[in-house]
Amino acid sequence: MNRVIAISILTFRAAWRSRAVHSALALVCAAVFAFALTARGDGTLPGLAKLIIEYSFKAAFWILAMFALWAGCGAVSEDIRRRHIQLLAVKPLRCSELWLGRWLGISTIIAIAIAICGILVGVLATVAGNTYACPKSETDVLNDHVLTARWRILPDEHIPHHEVAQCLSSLKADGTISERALPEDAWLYALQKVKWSRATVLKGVSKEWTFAIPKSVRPRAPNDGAWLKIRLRSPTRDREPTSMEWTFTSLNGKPLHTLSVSLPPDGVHYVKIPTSVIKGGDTILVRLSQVDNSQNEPLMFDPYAPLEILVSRSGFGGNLARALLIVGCQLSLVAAVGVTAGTAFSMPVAVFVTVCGFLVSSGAVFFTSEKVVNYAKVHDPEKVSAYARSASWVLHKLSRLLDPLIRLDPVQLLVDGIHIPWSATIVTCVVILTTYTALCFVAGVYLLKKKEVALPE
Amino acid sequence: MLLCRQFFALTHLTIMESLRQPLSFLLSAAAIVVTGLAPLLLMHSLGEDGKLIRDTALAIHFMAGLLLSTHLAAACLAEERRRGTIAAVLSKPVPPAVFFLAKFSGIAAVLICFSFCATIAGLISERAAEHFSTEYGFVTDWRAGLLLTATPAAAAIAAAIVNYMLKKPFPSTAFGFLLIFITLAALVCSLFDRTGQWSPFGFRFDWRLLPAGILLAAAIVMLAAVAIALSARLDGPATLAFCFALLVAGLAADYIISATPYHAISLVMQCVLPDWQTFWQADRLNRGGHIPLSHVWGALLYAICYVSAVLTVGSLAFENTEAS
Amino acid sequence: MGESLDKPVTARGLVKIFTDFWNRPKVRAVDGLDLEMRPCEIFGLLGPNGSGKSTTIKILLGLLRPTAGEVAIFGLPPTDVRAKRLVGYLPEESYLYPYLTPRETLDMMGRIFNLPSAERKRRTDQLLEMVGLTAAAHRPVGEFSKGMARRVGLAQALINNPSLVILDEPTSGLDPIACRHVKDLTVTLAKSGKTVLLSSHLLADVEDVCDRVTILFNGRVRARGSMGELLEKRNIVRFAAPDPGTEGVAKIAALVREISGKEPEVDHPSMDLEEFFLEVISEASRQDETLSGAAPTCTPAPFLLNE
Repeated sequence: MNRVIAISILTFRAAWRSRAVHSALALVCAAVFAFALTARGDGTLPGLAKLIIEYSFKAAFWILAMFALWAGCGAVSEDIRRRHIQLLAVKPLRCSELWLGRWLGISTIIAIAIAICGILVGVLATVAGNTYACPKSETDVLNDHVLTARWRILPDEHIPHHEVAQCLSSLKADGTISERALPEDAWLYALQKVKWSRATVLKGVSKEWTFAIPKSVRPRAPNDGAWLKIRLRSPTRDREPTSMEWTFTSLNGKPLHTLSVSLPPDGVHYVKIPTSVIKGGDTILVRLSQVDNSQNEPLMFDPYAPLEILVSRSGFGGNLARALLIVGCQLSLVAAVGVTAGTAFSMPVAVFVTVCGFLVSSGAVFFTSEKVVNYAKVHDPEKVSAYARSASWVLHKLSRLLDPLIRLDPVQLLVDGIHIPWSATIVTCVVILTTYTALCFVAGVYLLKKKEVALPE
Repeated sequence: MLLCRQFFALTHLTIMESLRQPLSFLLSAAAIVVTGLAPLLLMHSLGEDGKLIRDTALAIHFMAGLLLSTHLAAACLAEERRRGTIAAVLSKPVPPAVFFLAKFSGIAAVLICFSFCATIAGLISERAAEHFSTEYGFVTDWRAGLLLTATPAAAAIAAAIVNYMLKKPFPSTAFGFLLIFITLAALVCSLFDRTGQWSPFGFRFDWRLLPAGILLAAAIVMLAAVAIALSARLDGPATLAFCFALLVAGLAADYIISATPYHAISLVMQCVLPDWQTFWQADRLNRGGHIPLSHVWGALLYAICYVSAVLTVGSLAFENTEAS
Repeated sequence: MGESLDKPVTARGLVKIFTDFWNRPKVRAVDGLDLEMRPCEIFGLLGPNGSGKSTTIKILLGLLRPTAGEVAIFGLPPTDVRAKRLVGYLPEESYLYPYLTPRETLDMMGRIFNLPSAERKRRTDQLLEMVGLTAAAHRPVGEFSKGMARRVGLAQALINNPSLVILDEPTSGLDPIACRHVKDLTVTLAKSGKTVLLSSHLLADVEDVCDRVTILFNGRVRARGSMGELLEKRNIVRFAAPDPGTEGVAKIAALVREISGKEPEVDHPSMDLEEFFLEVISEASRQDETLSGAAPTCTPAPFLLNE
């Protein structure tokens, strides 16, 4: 362990004294301040705070990702090129210790930079909340929905396999989907169709959602905040507000709460509900009855997240710390990939290979995500070449690579004021460290062992 | 005369040095592959029309050019400063300004070759997406797309054979083959239509992309001038960071200049910040317009003035740099 | 394989061929080298540039893998961590981290050898004193001249009090005084029980300190043996005596001529340049005590002598 520490101290010192780290840190701080000073938001204080948090964080993330990439790729490759490795490799140092030391050193710098960035963002968002003169309603929204951490309870939206299969076969029967379409594409398209049809509530029809409240959800006090978040999508613009009646009942039919609201049929709406409705371990049914019959158009919910129940849990600080921890782990993974690539290639090539790796994997996720239209929707699938079908197949396989990494988006959760549980934080960090990073470690050590580090140029 | 000879000798050396950087070939090849894949991935996935392809091809051209220019500037000047090889050249009767300008010329020549590849790739990619319409469904000229994406692989294979047989360096040979093969790919595309039928000289290229490519090449050369001027004093990562910041600031030049409260400062900003909007003409193409020749000449004149100013400052900075 | 302290270096049939990307042979750097070193000796590896000295050393250190043949350091493979614990290496150029100061460099190397903090500090202080860099201990190595960096390189090679010291061109970049000190140090190290492998193309360095030498050319051994065996001219005898005057010289010459039947060569012995230079500098330093660069002491670090 002492040797690993020695190498990490060496890496830390070398990086800390280089201009690149100073530039990266200065850029991170400048990006955070620049967004804080120039962000205009949607004209409201919560909007401004959200923007500051989201864009500052994202800018800092990308700058630090570039730094992690540069430092990671150069950690071993530059040692080999400048021959420093000849001093280290003759010492009683295992390849694993060298790799780990290098990675830990870079990760330490990343951790410091992330901490600085987190403190800045936290302070700026809080200062913005206290400085701007605005109506109390805006300050309340800021405190209730942005600078907070809330439990998010999603409805049970499980779509049975047979329902998708049925939809798929009817789409195939009417010729929308060809028999030649790639099975994954066809399935995604059918799934999308089912989701959209479920999200549409026709005039005069009621709809019910089931919420299983996790045991861990325990509102702290009766006057604590709890909200029903409703996401609506209107196919036509400028529709008049629709009156709705929302009924909360327990699983055995006992009425818990009823509220009547009139909401525009588009956008995101928060409706406050009493915390007495929320009991950890219970299952509640939320039923929508459209009262307003004057509207001819159906009511359309967001097919991906129609409803959420939000319950106040804790402050912004703890959530920020957990988000930072996950972001730190993600960046240290970038460094790990870089260190491994740097053992095989020279620094510029290692940077290129790493960037390509990330681009291809994240591109694959993007192109195969269910939000995009896919090949299955072709009217004349015979015109789709085997080349294009093969590309789609490869993308599907590649997208699975990054799936565990992107399942939790800490910055988005932070911006939305959603509580990031410690359990999820630890699981994500452990997955990153024990699978992706560990794989990089194994590959890096193998390559380092195989490499002759003193070959003439 | 001696100065000219020295200048050309050093330019030739810089070109060879730049082409032997593996990244020159890798970045060019990657730009071509991604541009070639764009119609196949984007159009089928997002259902957009050719606009997306044009934007993507030009954006890849610009970004890869930015990376290549900063990398070459760092590799050819900052690295030479670090290794001390610069002292060996400057100890000869070579004026530092000639050395500095020759370095820039060499890098600019390589970047123009890169821009040629990226522009041709954009043309073929646009052609691959040309026949998109809802009537036909998501149909692309996959033969053109495949030909384009296969070009870097063919160049790499040819260079590997030459390397094996004649022991010529792989990266520079591959780059040379890339130039040849992409030109051939464009010619082959001009002989066949989308269905693979013989159609001699029916290019079906969107030639409007050509001036757009030339403008981007000028923008990349401007960035290279900034990068080489910075490399006289800074290391690679710092140069890249600065160039990237300049790129972003240049894109928001209008906003920054209008937001500057003092006239004098805004005037300085106008001179210092490059106006990338002059060189980024994708929007004009997407609206169905052409890039007038007068605009191209005006932009090139602007680029020449900007490059001259930057190189003068860079050359002065380089003269005052201690070589060892 | 276990440790065997009586065999510091053993190499049999060592071959190293550098290949190109296609694995075709490019250069045959070492060609069938056999090498065996004895404990506590100073072994010289001599040869012109490109003769394979540094490649041989890098193979012995596990930095390069031999194409053929066997290598053992204290009976262990050179890549074995146990073998590396016993070795100190000064590369042909001091590939030091430019951002670190000499003190940080030595401390880091000490950490790698798992030395306790107090011991690291003691050794660092002693080594800095030995190489004359105590005053420059807090300046980054990147600011150093080649000679000063070389001294840091030497100090780091000795931080673990190694049993086998491998010095590749140890005097390159050093001034004559430092060269002398390095040579004296090499002898002292051998006397204190360490084995030294010294590679150089400076013949005087090797001649001054080595017990045995191997001369390499084009990757092959061209000569080997002890200094005495290789350099002694057994058919010639040299006398050194106070000047007996012209007459005395003539008498002795006549006597030698009578006995051997050949004309003897008679001249005055001269001081070599190194000796003369050291004398001048020693006199100068007595007069002017302020020094801007490194000022090495002649005494090796006490811990190297197991004190």
